[in-house]
Amino acid sequence: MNAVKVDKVAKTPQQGGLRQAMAWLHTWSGLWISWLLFAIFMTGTLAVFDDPIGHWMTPEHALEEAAHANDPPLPKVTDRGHRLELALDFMAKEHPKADMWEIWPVQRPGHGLSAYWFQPSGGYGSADLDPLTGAVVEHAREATERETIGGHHFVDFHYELHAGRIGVWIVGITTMIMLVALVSGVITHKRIFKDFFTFRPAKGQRSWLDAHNAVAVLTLPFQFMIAYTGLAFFSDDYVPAPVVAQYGMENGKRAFLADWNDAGKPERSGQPLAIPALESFAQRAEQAIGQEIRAVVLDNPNDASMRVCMYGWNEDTELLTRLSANTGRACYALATGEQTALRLPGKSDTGGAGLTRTVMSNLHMVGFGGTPMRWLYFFCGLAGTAMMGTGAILFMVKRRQRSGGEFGAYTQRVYRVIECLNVAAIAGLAIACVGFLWANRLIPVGIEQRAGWEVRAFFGVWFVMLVHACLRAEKRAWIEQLCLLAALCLLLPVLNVLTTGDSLVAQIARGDWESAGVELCSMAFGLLAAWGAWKVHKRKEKAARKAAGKESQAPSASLQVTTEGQS
Amino acid sequence: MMKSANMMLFSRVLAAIFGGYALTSGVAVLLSAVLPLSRAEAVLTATLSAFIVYTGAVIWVFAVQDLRRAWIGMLLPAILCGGIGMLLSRGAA
Repeated sequence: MNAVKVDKVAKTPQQGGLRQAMAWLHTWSGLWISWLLFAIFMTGTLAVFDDPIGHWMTPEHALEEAAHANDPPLPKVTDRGHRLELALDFMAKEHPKADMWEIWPVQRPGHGLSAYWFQPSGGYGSADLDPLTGAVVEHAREATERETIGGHHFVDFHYELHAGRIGVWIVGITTMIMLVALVSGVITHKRIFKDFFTFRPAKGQRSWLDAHNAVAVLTLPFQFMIAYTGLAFFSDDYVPAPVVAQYGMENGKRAFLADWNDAGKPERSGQPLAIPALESFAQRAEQAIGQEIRAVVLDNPNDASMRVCMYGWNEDTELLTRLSANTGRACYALATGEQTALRLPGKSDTGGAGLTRTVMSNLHMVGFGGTPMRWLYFFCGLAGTAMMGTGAILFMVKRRQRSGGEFGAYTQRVYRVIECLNVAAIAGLAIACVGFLWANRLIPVGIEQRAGWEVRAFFGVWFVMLVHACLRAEKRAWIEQLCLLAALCLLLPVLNVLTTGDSLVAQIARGDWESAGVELCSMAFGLLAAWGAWKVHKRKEKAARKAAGKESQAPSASLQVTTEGQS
Repeated sequence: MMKSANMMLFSRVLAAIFGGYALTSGVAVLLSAVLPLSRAEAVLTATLSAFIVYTGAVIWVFAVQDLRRAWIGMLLPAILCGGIGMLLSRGAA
């Protein structure tokens, strides 16, 4: 530390003052997560429209739906009592030992009569029943049906990278670093609102910085919200200490969850009791909560402690005005017929903390506000994606002009790796995403594990793009990948015509805006990519690499920090 | 000189990641013990608040000059909060 006084150079970012320290933190925490975060944000943004994407990816279903578009709507169930009886008979015969039976008797598009249960061995079982006879309906997939996970691919990837628990942790750690990068970025930019109104186009590094600041500041509240609510989903996994402290090491987690999920669940008494007709309870519950009944959950069937809980169904119009997605719920002790619990729609039966988490997850998943809110999330998500992308590019644009020499003798090699990762993470991932849609049309219908092959195609394309980015010079890599992206996006409607015979014009003509929206968005992204490729093509190289070798010798250069944001 | 500067930076990063996580856990344990809520709600509130603590802790570690202060600033309150929290915990800890 004494040496600092001798050569009068800030040895650590901390000695350059708070803003210097925060600029360092922002640059480096941001850089190392920007690629992964870009991927999480981009797929998360697409996940906003997972249903329309899934709709586009099941064209046979979409066409069949269109054929029945003018049919009168399916009649509402009037024989719910009978359906409940059928499902209870099925459960009594097939799963008498299960300590929870759940029945869905409501007829909505896509819903018939379903039964679910907890296996005594653990695990969740389900069966679809014929609503008239109660017989099990086997879902043999038709040979023409396209097996796909559809838009859920983007949902799954953005929160677990298709890697299960490990993926959840990686995404959580990345998101946590994002919070740090956001806060340090805000501290770095003292003129945060001035930055927002500043854009100096065609000025190289300056323009990238301005763009980075503009999209970040514009959508800052959204970025904080989406990061924090994303962490909230698994908060007790990420920070298990309080669970362990309050519930003990062994089975602490299970006891904690039981406090939420099984609140008021009765203990089995051992005294037998016949199951009464449940329809009258369903009607009482509908009166009490003011919603149509969706699910009927029976705890400890055939035991004197038997309890039934009736869950309501949120109408779309309700969720336009409500942030909590909780449905209504009413529970009855069947031995006495007494109402033991009541939750009105939107309210919580687990107190303020439980309601907070419900609202947080609904905020994250845009389960409110309908289609306009989805578009708002889509554009904010794109802005966030652009924030990561411009940030990662900015790092290299800055160092292309003047090396920071941060890694001593390895600096140029590390920069090269960063260049490759930039291309593969930004253009390469976008190609993988649209490649996923191409795979959906190109992989033959009816092959084994088809849905898995679509996901493998996504990762495969991404990997090929990484290899390509490493083999080509940076500028060429950018141009080639952006051109490929533009071609794939612009030709997606053509591919659809060639493979299914369904065209954009036909989609619009029959009012199928979900499919048309996917293709129109794809074409918009294609034009954007083409414009990007053109810009890169026109870019003049400012070769300042030569100086880099010398600079890396100087110790002060190793601690160069990015402070341009303040100026 | 380079080496020691790098080592100090490395130490600071460790203080931010692991010291910050220890502090976060300590504060969360304390919160879950003292919040005037039911046990389940207090625990959930503590875990939901943890990310504010963690973010603030990391920012602070990089803001202070003295590296030793950064480490002490993480570990001392982590031990204090965690210890008091454990003593006050209502469950089978």
